[in-house]
Amino acid sequence: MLRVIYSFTGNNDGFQPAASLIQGMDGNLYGTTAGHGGEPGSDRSGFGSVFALIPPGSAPAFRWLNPIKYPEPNGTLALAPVVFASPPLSYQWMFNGVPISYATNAVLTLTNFSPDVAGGYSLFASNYAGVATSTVARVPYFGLNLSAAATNFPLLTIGDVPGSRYQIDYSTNLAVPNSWNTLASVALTNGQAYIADPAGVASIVRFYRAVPLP
Amino acid sequence: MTHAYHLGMGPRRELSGRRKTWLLVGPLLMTIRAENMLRRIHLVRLALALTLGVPPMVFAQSSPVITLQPLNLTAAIGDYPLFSVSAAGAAPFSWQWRFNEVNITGATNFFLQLSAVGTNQAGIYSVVVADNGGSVTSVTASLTITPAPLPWGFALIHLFSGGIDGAAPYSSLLQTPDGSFYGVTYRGGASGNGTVFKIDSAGKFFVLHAFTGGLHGGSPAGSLIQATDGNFYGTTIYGGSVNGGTVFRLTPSGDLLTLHDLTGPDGSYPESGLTLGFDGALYGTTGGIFFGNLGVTGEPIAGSVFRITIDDSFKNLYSFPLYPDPNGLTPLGNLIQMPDGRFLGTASGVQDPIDSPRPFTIGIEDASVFAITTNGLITILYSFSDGHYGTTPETGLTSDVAGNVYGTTSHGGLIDGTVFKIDPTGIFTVLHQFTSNGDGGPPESGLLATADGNLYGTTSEAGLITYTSYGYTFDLI
Repeated sequence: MLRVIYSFTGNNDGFQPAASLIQGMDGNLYGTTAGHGGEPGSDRSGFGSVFALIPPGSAPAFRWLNPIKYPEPNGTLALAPVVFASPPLSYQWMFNGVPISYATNAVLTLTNFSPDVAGGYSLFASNYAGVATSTVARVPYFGLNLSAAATNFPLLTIGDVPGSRYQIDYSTNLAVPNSWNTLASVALTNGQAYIADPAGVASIVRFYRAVPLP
Repeated sequence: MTHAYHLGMGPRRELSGRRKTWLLVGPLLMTIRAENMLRRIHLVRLALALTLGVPPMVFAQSSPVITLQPLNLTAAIGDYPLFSVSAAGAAPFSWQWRFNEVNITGATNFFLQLSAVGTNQAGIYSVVVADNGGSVTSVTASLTITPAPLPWGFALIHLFSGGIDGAAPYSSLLQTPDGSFYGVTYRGGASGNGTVFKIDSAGKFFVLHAFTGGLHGGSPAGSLIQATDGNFYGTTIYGGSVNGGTVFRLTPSGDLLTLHDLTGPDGSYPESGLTLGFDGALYGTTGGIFFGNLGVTGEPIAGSVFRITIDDSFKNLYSFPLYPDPNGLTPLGNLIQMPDGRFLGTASGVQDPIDSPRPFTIGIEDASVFAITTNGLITILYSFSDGHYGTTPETGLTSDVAGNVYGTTSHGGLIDGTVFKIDPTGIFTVLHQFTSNGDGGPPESGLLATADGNLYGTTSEAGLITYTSYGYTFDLI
């Protein structure tokens, strides 16, 4: 007796599966769709996919499959770990371990990217079979502004998970090997730090980098 | 209706002399061994010389006899249950299925394929079978509807861009013991000739190799295997010295070696991957039709079965003749090796599969399920001789621990192909006929038989009629 267990929509899940499924070591089924543009009778485009089907009764498990592409300041960042679980699922996003109000979807979109939103994000999911929390995705911020003081010296802002430590370096000429000099080492006690570089006023060009410390 | 049954694992036997006479077989029991036929005939107390060459006996003008009654079924909401009936009598037959003693409009076949059932379809089913001598009503069979099953989850792991990461992965994945997945794409990559990709256990995607076409092969469509030397082996449809495809070896670090250059007389255009034999050699099929069209002379063939060792000792085990051959032609799917050492495969009957993994010309007279020994002795397990129970088996077979063999056909049957089974004694059974009524179809991939007894497969379209969706994953329980 045949039972349909998944119907492809063609909307970011692929379409036209043309190959046999395999059963992974985790018990899930894995397959491919070959869907690509120009199919007869199709108004969809796409180039195929790799997917997993998770049997009913499977507790959630997370994977951050796609690298996080950090935005420019004031840009937008979407966080979307892939959850391996059978539906229905409930979600709750956490910021530095604290639930975010009304953030109960599978995808969290951060807008106006700023030091205030830098930190650690994780997703809690539950279904009738169990619960799981994703690993923490660190979303750091490293920005440069000029101070409002009359001297307009460089003012660096860094944000990350509370407790993170960074070394701030500067260079006046990247063409010179090993030209990085240490400006400061900071611990982000509350997730943010501001570093002033009054000496930078004297430089025509000055580069900065933030190096995570263990 | 005419049938040409191939019985069991033994020599091919033609029973088409009984055409238009006395035997009707429902879709759940379509190939019958000769002894079963005899038993049924004895049941109706008819003396019939069941010897090939003896003219068929026609039943006297009497009501048909139902030899296989519809069975009680339990289905969940949304399932596709199938009732069937078998009867013997004097042809032609007609059938009328009934639900709660009321005729079902249009249900006039020897099976009743229900679609996406709901609670309102629970009840009593029966069928009236009629022939020239009268009619008979089957026993009643109940359909019990249970709540909808719990849903499956879906996780998208990678969406191909069509660029350097590849496009159109037509093949199955391979999972290695470290948890990584490997696959191929038919198109895309740095030169557009396809890729081999890897997704590691953390989900990170890598292009392991980009095919360049030409001598190094291009457009792989078959799944990879990993041999005992740790290298990956596969095929490309195109490339090689005459563009007839290649057999390649790929190291885990992505270095490619063309192991064999397919030139036509030794096969061409392999659309499936390789199978690792018990002897450590690799076995595969080619589906290309060769008639001297590659600038190479040689006997015309319509596909082949070959053996190749990892040090490129190539041997053509069997070439399917180009012209109508009782063994079928153009195998497009993988081989499987059975515990007795034989390989089983399918001959698609497709007459020109070259330009696309999806064929466009169908020769239903030439499709079969075959067995072949490691020294090339081929026998036919089933011939899809008339398309009633499916034709164009484009993909390979799968087997379960009990020795049953399962496969799909992408055409024939009721509308859009079938799922079939051949048990260890050779009995052929159709498990599902795709109707394009929400159950998908046609199935263009093989099946996965899991340890829990289920079969899983996919259909590439919602059907040739409706196009309401773009593929299903189905579960036969």
